[in-house]
This record gives sequence, structure tokens and C-alpha cells, in this order.
Amino acid sequence: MRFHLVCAVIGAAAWLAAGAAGAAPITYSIFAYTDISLNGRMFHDAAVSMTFTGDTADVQAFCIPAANPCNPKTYLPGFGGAAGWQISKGSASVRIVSGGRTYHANFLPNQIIITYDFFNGGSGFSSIVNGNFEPGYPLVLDGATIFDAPDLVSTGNWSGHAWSCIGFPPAVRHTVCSDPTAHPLATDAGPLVVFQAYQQFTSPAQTQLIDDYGGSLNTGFFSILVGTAPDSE
Amino acid sequence: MDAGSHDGQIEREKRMKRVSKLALAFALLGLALGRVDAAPAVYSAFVVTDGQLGSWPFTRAMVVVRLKGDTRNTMTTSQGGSTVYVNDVGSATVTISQGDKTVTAHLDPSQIFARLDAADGVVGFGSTISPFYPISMSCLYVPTGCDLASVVGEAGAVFPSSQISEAVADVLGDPADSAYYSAALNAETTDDLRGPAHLGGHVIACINFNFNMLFAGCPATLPPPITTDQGKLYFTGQDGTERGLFKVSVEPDDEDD
Repeated sequence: MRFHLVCAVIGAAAWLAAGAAGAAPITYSIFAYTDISLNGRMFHDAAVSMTFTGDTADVQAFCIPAANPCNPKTYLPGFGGAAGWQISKGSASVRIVSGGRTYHANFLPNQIIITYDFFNGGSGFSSIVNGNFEPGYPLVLDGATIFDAPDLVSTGNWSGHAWSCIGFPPAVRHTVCSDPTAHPLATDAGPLVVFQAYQQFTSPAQTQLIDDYGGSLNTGFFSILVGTAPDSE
Repeated sequence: MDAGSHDGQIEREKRMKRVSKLALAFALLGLALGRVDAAPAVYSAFVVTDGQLGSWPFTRAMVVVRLKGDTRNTMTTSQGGSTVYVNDVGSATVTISQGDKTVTAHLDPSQIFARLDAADGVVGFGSTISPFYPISMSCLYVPTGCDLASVVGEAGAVFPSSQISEAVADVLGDPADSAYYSAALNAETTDDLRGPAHLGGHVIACINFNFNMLFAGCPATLPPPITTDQGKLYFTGQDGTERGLFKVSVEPDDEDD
């Protein structure tokens, strides 16, 4: 089992395209109960589903520090490094169910990046927010079985610690996630902010998360479906 | 009968009447509280696991088991020295998704019940087959849950809690440890299946879970089936690292998935 900490600072510019799979439609989904606000309306412990549709041909490998060739399954970047796959070309949406009502929103383009850090064992919906790459925001998983997912182009379901963390990974920096309200994501239904509600700290001062896996006690689920997705509505 | 014993008899009768009135008052209070607590509720377990529904064997499928009931039917019981909350009244479904296939089956009545042993950090659905089957989520890899002596005070320690159910057990055992957890988690620690809850832990979805070899897989011997309108249902999931989520929605979210 790998016990490396998730890469501390992964710049979007550092993503290195080093390979692509054959072309096929692909759908990524993530699900968790969490606190979320849409266009200023707060939902407590809502059922939150995010979906990203793209094409396997646009999945790219990355190695940080850069390597050539970049094979995430064999690359050992060392402490603070990362290796895996990502896809940014596609469309993303969010579905919120709370109080018996359902709310939909589509992310505006060029924000959501599906990532899988194979080296550190985390995957989900990362983003570009205020010009910064946020590997743990708006909703990603790490640890548990997502730790051992094969890649970003294989159909399957996995579980893990659910993170919605600006400034991920916080524990390696001896701190906590930043306030997400200053970093809304843009959707066609207004600004979207996702909160990290279930956390464990190193001390009652609550100034540092216990680690970058168990620091979030919440559970989420990540799914990949290669091929045409059935209508989920 | 002398005057003294007669007076004593009257006093005893008066006491009995007072006790009876008191008991009646408590009973009425209980009924009143029961009515206050009564609310439609949906108990939901979310797990990735293996099994078979009818002729369809599924592997690492997304499985959601739901019991729609009412909080007024939650019973408080004592099991193995622990306070355990059980709700066994309602209609149950299972939705299984693997790849592009999704099937929802309705369970035949009176087979599963929602079960919470908060102090030991175990939550899920039990059945007549086992109190921990078809699906339990434990704070540790054992169906009986945490060893409280090891959990209490573990917050902030070398081996901290890594599951919500584990943290809940920690706080129930040592309320001071609540300071190590965020407020949202602490809001869930009073749960007794009578109110909204957000719990989760290691998934046990195997009747013969091998606790000595966590990644060996569930033994091939199938448990008795759970019967549904889509055929017989079995769960055979054993992965020592799988995590699940158990949710109690008191304002039912029919679309929760």
C-alpha cells in the first residue's frame, strides 16, 4: 500500500500530456452527502452528485516532477510528487438533492478537471479556481479503494475519504483547508461553493487536520463508465 | 386488623395510587414524546460491493439499500451490553448499478432492519440472517465494532479515527474528544435512528467475513437469500478497505442517490 502524501503544490501548468487512450465516450461521477451552496442558497448535508462527460482520447498522463516518458504506473516521483492521469476537455454538471427537491447546475467551461493521482491514491473533480489549480476541490476522494483504482479509463466504482478542500493537501502544510466561500465555482445557476463538513484535527485548537486521508471523515463514491451513459434523469 | 395496620394499608394504597398516577403520567408523556418524534424517515446504506441478484452476479457494483419507515418505530434495545437502536418497520429496496446496468428490486416484507450501535461504532442493516448482514459499517474491521477502551481518547493520537462511526464512538465514550472534530460531525453524535444522521465506516457485506484475512474475499458459501421481486439477493463483498455511508433522512429525499 502506498503511503505517500498527496502532492503539495500541483500547478496546472505542470500537467504533462504523455499519452492518450483510444477514443470512446466516458462519464465520471462522484457522489457524497455534504454541505453546499448554490447561488447563495445553503444546503446542509445534501446529496451531491457531480458528472463529467468526455472522451477517453482526451485523458492524459502526468508526472510531477516531469518525466519523459511519463508512465504513472511505474514512475516514482518521491515525496511531494505525483503521477497519474487527467482530463479537462468535457462538460461538467452538479445535481443537489435536499429537502425532497432537486437542483441542477452546469459548470461553466474551463474549471473542472478530472484527476487521478495514481501515486498518492486520490481521484475526483479537481478544478481551476481563481487561476489556481485545486486538486482537492470541489469534490475528490482519497484512501480506501480509490487508492487502488487502475487508471482513468476503466469502468468501475470506488469509495474513499471525500474532500472539498481549497489548498489540498493541508496536513502536510500543518494547516487546514481554506475557506471555500472566497473561491466559488461558476455555474449557469450561480456561484457554487462546496464545504468540507466532517473533519478531524490534531488538537482541540483545530488548526491542523490529522492527515490528508483521515482528516476528512466523510465517505464518497467515484464511478467511471466507458461508453454511452444511460440517461440518469 | 388494628388501627395502625389499617392506617399503614391506607398509606400503601395512597402510595400505590400515586405511583400509578406517576406511571400513567410517564406513559402519557412517553406517548406524547413518541408522537413528537414520529416522522417519516429513509434509512439508506451506500456501498460498493459484490453479490448476486437473481441470475445477475455483480462485482464492485454501487449498491444502495433503503428502508422507508417512520422514526416512531425505532426501538431501543440492549445487545451485548450495548444500547442498540433498531427500526424494522417499512418497505425496503435495493438499487444496484454496475457499468451501464441498474436494477432496483423491492425486498419482500420484514426481512431487514436498520440498526445502530453508536457506542461501538456499528451501523447498517441487519436481518433475520444476522444482525450485521446484509450490510454493516463498522469503525473497525470487526462486526462488533470498536473496542471502546482503544477508541476513547484516540482523537489526535498516532492512530486517529478514520471513519465517522469511529469518531462518534470516540465522542460517546469521551465527550471531551468532540473538540478534535468539526461541529458538523459532533451534531451527529446524538443520533439514535430517530433523527437525521450521517454515519459511515468499513463495509462488511459478507455473512462469513474473514477477519483474519481482510483481503482474501468473502468465502464462497452463500448465506440464506434475501428475497425480492427480482429474485434472490446475496451479498458477498469483502474488501478490507471499502468504505460505506449510512444516511438517515427524516425529510425523505426520494431522489437521494
